[in-house]
Amino acid sequence: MTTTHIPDGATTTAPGDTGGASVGAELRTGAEALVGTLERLGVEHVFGLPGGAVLPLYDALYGASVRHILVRHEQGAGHAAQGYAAATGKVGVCLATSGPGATNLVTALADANMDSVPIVAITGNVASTAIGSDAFQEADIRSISMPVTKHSFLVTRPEEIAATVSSAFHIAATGRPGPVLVDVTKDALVAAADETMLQLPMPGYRTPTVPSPEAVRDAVELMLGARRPVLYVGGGCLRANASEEVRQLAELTGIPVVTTLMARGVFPDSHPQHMGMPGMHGSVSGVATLQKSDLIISLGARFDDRVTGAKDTFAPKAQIVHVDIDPSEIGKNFPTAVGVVGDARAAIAMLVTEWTRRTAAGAAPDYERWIAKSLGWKRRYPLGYDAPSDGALAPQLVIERLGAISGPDTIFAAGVGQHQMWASQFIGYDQPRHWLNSGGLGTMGYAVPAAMGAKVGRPDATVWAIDGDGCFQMTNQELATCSVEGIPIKVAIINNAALGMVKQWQALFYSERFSHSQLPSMQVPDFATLATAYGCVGLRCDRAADVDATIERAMEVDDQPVVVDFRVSQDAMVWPMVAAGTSNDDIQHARDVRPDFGEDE
Amino acid sequence: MTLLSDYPPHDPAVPTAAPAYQPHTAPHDPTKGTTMSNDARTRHALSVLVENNPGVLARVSVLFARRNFNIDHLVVGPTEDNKVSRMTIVVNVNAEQLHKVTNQLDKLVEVIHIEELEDADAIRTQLWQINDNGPRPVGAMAAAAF
Ligand SMILES: Cc1ncc(C[n+]2csc(CCOP(=O)(O)OP(=O)(O)O)c2C)c(N)n1
Ligand SMILES: [Mg+2]
Repeated sequence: MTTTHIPDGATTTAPGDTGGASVGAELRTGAEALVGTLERLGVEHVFGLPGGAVLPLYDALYGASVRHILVRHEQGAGHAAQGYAAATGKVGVCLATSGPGATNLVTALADANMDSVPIVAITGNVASTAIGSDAFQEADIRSISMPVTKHSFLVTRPEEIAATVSSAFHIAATGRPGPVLVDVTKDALVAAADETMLQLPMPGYRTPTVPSPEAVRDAVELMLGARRPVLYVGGGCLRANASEEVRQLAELTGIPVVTTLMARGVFPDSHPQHMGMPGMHGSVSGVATLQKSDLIISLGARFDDRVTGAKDTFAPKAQIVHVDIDPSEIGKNFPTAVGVVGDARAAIAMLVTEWTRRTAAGAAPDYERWIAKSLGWKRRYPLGYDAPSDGALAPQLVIERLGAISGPDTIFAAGVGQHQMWASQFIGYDQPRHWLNSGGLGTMGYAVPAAMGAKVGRPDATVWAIDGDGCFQMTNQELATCSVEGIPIKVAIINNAALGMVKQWQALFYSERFSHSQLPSMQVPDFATLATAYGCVGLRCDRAADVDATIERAMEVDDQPVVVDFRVSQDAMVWPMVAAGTSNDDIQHARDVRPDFGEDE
Repeated sequence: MTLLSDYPPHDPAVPTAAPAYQPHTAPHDPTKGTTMSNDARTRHALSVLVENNPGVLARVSVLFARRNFNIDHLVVGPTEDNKVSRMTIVVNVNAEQLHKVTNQLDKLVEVIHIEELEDADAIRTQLWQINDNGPRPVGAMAAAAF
């Protein structure tokens, strides 16, 4: 009987072999073609971690012009690629080996998919001859990633590597941006690659065309007829670089603006027309302006449940004009009066032109009473916080001072939890791409690696991660990467010794039964000592009087990462709040305080 | 020691036959908390041209599962172009859901073209005939529950 030899995919090339290098002839190897394609596409930075299946690729990277940053966990590579993409607008790239390396990327892929972040993930897989044999470190990452990526490829043939990689970049960056995975088998990386094919045909991939002029005309018609319109600005305007156009449209029409958690900074917080953030922890004026409107002009937003509250009571009097690059978003959650499919920037520019034409021809909408009303809410219900009952440091104060001291050009990356909400509330964002967070998936552990990626992409900017004590424990290993690779990020840990957001819900909805939400992490680990162990500067602060000096001290360090352990009150809560599943009408400005919205028109 | 159930377990009694297949699903009870209209569901047949790539069937079915749509019938076969396959998918949804599911399908990179076919009921009948052979399912689920 003959035994079929199934090669162990992860170790096809023996040590001392040529690895990923060309074997004499003109053709490069698949691995070299891959790296060459990255160079051709202008990729400057890649975050990754090697392993058996990608050894040929790492051999080809040795000495390449692309800078590879060795992370400590692949999830860190994924979030770093996201932070890089979100801060620069370029496609972020991460790289992992087969099996566990690839599965470690899944959270970041899902996160990028929810928040439409353009990233390309490259993974190695076992040799194509070993696929399906449960070979060492084999995982079907193409299938695993299907529901959490814009697209995923498995490449088994060397001549398809270059074309697939450049197609992946094209898919990630065009249309509604998103994550694309390219899984390449080890034998394809090692074999000689014919690189004549530069793009895959992809007959089914269509990028959106220009917005229809009829839809734009109808949208403006509704805007002119409305009494209480609102511009509901979402993350799509950020990805489309449309902040200038948003501002034009807002100023031209005078319509009040709300910006979602994903869009903080797209329209300046300091602008008088800005009514704040809508949603579960939005401002009273942001929530009310959306809720009481009669026309919602949604610009690159997606009516997320965290924004709408209970759907059946959301903005009951409002019609919807929905501008989105993704046709499947239009009408997904609510019936839409006019859908404008197209890039936010182009669509808003067309709205501006049409509005100008109509008003020049005599149309004169009157929003004055409505604007006065919104401004009244904004005046009457400003964001604020009480001094903590336990006399400890107020987390909101720390965050407010961080924003004030580090200045308007600082990039902030937040974790997920109370500190994230406070960071969205108590720092003013006046420019796009200065607020990075995990909005759709809500991934604890996003902040540190995303800040790292942002700092790599924007080395001259100050980058602060505002992280929770819980979140920080999920990905702080990337501080080692930051130290070793010279990426001097700053981390403010808002240490309330709790999974604070969970604790807040338990306090409000589970009779203060704090099941597994309190962390003895005031001491374990000691974050300042941990920071030192990672080669960072470690600071600690637990008194309001020391906050400014501590932040200034952290700002002075620019050749090393800094971590500040802010030991804050354990009892602070995030307000305002629209409790999950309740109506926006029932927003609480502070605990059990319901705003008075006055008479409905 | 008390056993929660007898050991060894009794032979499962022969389960009673499941009720006969009802081709028409009961009227859909409107989902709470949605402002979407819930007009009656009807059967629709979609002809979907896809790239003939490995994994494309998985991708389409993952999409249906992910978006919470149920597939009644699904047939995949070759076309005269060996790079292109055709899927015929029968779904039982209302007009709005149909719009949503085709919108989502259309976003898949490997989906080239979608068309709704006329006479979905006739197509379903044919698919039912092709598929209605082999062992009978009667009682299979009930037996496994013992
Ligand atoms: C990976 C992950 N696991 C669990 C959760 C659920 N969750 C949301 S916020 C939160 C608490 C976060 O604690 P911390 O980082 O200390 O932030 P805080 O709310 O205390 O500011 C948890 C557990 C999540 N969002 N992500
Ligand atoms: Mg905490």
